[in-house]
Amino acid sequence: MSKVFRKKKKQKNLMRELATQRMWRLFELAEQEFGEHPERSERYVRLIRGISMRNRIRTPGEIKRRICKHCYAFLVPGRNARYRLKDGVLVISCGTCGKEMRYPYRSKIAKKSGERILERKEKGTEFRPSQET
Amino acid sequence: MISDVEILPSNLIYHELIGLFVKVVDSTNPSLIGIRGPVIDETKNMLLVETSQARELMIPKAGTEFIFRIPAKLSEKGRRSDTFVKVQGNLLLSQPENRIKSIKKLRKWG
Repeated sequence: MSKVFRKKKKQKNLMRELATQRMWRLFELAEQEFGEHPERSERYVRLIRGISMRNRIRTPGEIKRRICKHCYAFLVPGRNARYRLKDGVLVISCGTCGKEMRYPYRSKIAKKSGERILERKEKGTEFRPSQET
Repeated sequence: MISDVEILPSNLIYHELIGLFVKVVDSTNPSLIGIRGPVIDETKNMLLVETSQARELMIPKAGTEFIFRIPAKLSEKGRRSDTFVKVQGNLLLSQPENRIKSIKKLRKWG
């Protein structure tokens, strides 16, 4: 590794560190301001996205799930967003634009249950959750 | 969950200014001197400060000297009192997203 390259890498790390810190700080502020000044928290979300895009640094996952993918609204569970677990998928519906975001979790187990459903179909004892509820 | 945010006097000009308490100490416009309050927004040339009467004032960065108060929680680890940092506004002249990138330029030119 050449000296110039190493220096560049060091700077990149510093930038990445600062950018993530700033994103967390803005996230914290957006949460604080949501009650009284929701327009400010929206502006802070814009800034988070701006920092992440301009410096090409990933937004932390915890922050990503509090921002609407479609209208970039700041989501507060119970106030303008609904979080539901459904068949191995976390479904977040935004109260501002009404659209949904789907995040799968426990993918391996979900796959297994899918296999189990196939087995039941073959046996003729199919399980239909829609009918039960 | 929240990563440890650490605002130091050395990295303040690359860090987030929104949320910090600010006081204007010197300015080319004398009527701005003495204004204080938390920063609520930032643009390329201006800082938006909420003054005590719940009023929002736009203060130009250029030609202004600020004192920022970094709360003890965000200061250097192990520090119990707030940190006060005096900053020339001209150093902050850039879009908030681009301010991180100015690290490169400063290092390059010494």
